[in-house]
Amino acid sequence: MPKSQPDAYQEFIKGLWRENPVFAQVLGMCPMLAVTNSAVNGLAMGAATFFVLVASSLLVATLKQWIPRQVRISSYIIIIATFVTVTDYTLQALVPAIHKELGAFIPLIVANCLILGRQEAFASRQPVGLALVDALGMATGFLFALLALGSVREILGEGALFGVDLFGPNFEPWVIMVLPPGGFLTLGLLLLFFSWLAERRQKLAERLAEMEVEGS
Amino acid sequence: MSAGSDQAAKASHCQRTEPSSTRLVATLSIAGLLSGLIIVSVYEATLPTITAYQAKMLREAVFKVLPEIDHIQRLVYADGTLAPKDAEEPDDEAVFGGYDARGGLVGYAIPSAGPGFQDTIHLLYGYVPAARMVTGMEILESRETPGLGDKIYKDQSFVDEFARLAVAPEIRAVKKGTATAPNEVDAITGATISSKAVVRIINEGNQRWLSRLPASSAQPQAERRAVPEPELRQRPSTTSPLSQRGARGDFGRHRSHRETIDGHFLSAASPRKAAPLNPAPHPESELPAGSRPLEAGG
Amino acid sequence: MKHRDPKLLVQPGPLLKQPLTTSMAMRDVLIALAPATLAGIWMFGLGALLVLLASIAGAMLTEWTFLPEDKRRDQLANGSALVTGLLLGLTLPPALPLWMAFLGGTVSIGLGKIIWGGLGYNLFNPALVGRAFLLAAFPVAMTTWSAQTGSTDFFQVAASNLAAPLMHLDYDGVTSATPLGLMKFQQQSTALWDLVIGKTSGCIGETSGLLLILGGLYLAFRRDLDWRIPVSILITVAAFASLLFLIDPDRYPGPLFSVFSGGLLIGAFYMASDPVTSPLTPKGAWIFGIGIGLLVMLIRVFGGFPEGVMYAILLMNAATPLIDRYTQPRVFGKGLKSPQGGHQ
Repeated sequence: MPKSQPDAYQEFIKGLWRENPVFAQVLGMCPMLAVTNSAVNGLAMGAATFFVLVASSLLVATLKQWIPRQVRISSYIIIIATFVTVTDYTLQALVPAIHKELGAFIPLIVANCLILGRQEAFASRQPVGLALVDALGMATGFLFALLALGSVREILGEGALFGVDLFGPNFEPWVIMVLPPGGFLTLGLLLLFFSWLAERRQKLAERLAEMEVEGS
Repeated sequence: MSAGSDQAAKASHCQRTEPSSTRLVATLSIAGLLSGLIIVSVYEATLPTITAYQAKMLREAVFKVLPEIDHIQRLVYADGTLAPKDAEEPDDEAVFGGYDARGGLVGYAIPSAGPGFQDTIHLLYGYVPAARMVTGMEILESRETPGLGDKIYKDQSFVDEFARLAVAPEIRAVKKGTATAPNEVDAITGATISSKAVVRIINEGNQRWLSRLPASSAQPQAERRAVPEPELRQRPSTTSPLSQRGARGDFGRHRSHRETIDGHFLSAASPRKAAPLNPAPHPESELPAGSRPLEAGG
Repeated sequence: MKHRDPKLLVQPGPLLKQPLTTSMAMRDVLIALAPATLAGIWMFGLGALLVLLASIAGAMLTEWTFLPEDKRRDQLANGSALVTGLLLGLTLPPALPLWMAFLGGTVSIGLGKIIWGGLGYNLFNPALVGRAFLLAAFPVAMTTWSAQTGSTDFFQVAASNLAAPLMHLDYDGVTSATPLGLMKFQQQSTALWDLVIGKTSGCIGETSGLLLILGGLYLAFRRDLDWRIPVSILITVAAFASLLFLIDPDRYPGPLFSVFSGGLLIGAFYMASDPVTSPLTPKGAWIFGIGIGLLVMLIRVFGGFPEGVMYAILLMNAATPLIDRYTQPRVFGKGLKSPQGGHQ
């Protein structure tokens, strides 16, 4: 039967850090680079993806025994596309201003390889509970990455965060940051930063292990 | 992980006994059917909010681009006439008439669209026929470069350029700080293409609409005829509105008027912002009123 | 060079040892740049010196931060970061806020050099990478040109120089357009003599044409640069400009104006000829130089910017591996038509 708590916790936490969809797997780059010119846009895109990923994973994991192998990808895509369309209309009705900003990138969530990848690699092989936890972790990781990128670009590009002015009227905006090259630059620097952190952690762990060996 | 191994067993089972194509088709059909149902119901549920919002935005834009209006009326152009019509249809060629409290026509809000730097720019601009002036411009939809091209609606000084703009001769975008004539707009530094696109879109709108719009009637609903010549439907950019007016038929009369207008502009030393919005006795305003076949008739 | 495996020694003999090291080459570049640098500081005042120092500090600090501890001393001592910082500083407007110059130095070394694997591995000229970043990020500050201060106001530093980090202060002094800007937007020419001695506005180090040429000749004599690159660039630009000038003398400037205005001289002598980012073969050098010359003129005449040296060099930097690949000298005894048909 389903494994104990720690396992589910592990499945959740891996999406946040060790297997973060953006910083470790480098998936879903299209929305990542295209819409993150402000923190709000990053958050909205992350939230939309969050909903689609979690809902699709849940449904796929529930229905998996009725979906023949041969048509599984098509079925996943239908499921994902349904949720994406629902998200599209809902956003348009509830927050039209943000929907206008995100524009064509909401429908493009269908093609986000992160979502299809989780269905194929995880949700279709694991029990519903684990699939849900995994989707939650991955979606949160993606949301976090989009938010980080959007925040950095908005702070440097507009001198604001979530539209709140940070530096006063004399701030010199870095125009390049809200343009596409700024997206690539920031993503590259964030990747560098996170792999540097990971490397440091690994070194620390190795040193600890050595010390333990010596101690015993 | 008994559930997982269960699945694996099932999967391998499926693999061995090939499922019939009927089953495959049935699965996908059911999935598609369910998906369609969900989408349609969500669409139906959200549609009123979405259209209401869009209509509200459009109304607000109309009030922004026309000065001192009290109420508006959607007007559809069909078969040479401009008639009020509220129900929207996809093929409508529509403008919005703006009226003052007594029901007198103030001006029209004209939607127009065209290619910008990145994608189509949809905008709405106000036009007051009595003064032959553009009275405001509002970008409805655009995807111009953030930080540069999006200044066409974020930079208030650029938007204000359109508050009093003569429509003849054709509006021009010039380098920042060099606009002097009443038909010139200061382009945004670093976003010349977007600025010029806005001007071009307005010129195209003028080309399509100006001859169709009755000038000062209090009752455009009373079907006054505004018959456009076929030449007026030409591609823009090839000819300016002025030369088109010349092409309208009675050359001699309009020629002379045109010279007046040019001569007036050249001699006028006053900066363009001082151009009056309602210049009744001005020679400048006589031309538009007089040159209109409609006005001549009525 | 730990591997002394004779199997890897592929150079043909006899082997001449060239007494040229990185630090020597860099010292030569510094000597060559000294007159133009001093002239720039003299003409634009103390502010220009501060901009240069800020950009050098940014470059050297970044180099120090990202190098492994055991290599720091050697790498900093060879002066390549110093030269990069100086070259970047010389291509900046004199009234630029100091923090931007510092940031430019950081980007030059960080994105222009370190990220590629250090000196010798970078595809693009580091100083120009920094400048391209600054121009894209701060288009207004990077195109605000102050007039020359002259000797009387040497110690007057523009307020915009001293803007706090991330902030800007409006430039308060006399601004004046560069010769190329005047030509492009107002069809105004500048006296040739002013261009030659540098009595124009512009970047700190790009104005004094004569001193730049002197430094370039020094480098060419010391064999620190491939003379073919600057020569082919200048000839191409002059030829292109002459052609346009013959077609319509009213609209287009003459060849001498084109050669002496803007950043062409500093670009041709000190940036395009960077041995790391330019082709190795003589034939490649000609192609490289002609390509830069053509691009410069295309951008200046038909593009939206008044000046295009930076983009031209960066674009041809990108083409360098390709040029190298197609201009490889034939290996002795190979590549000719052979009965086996082994050729290519």
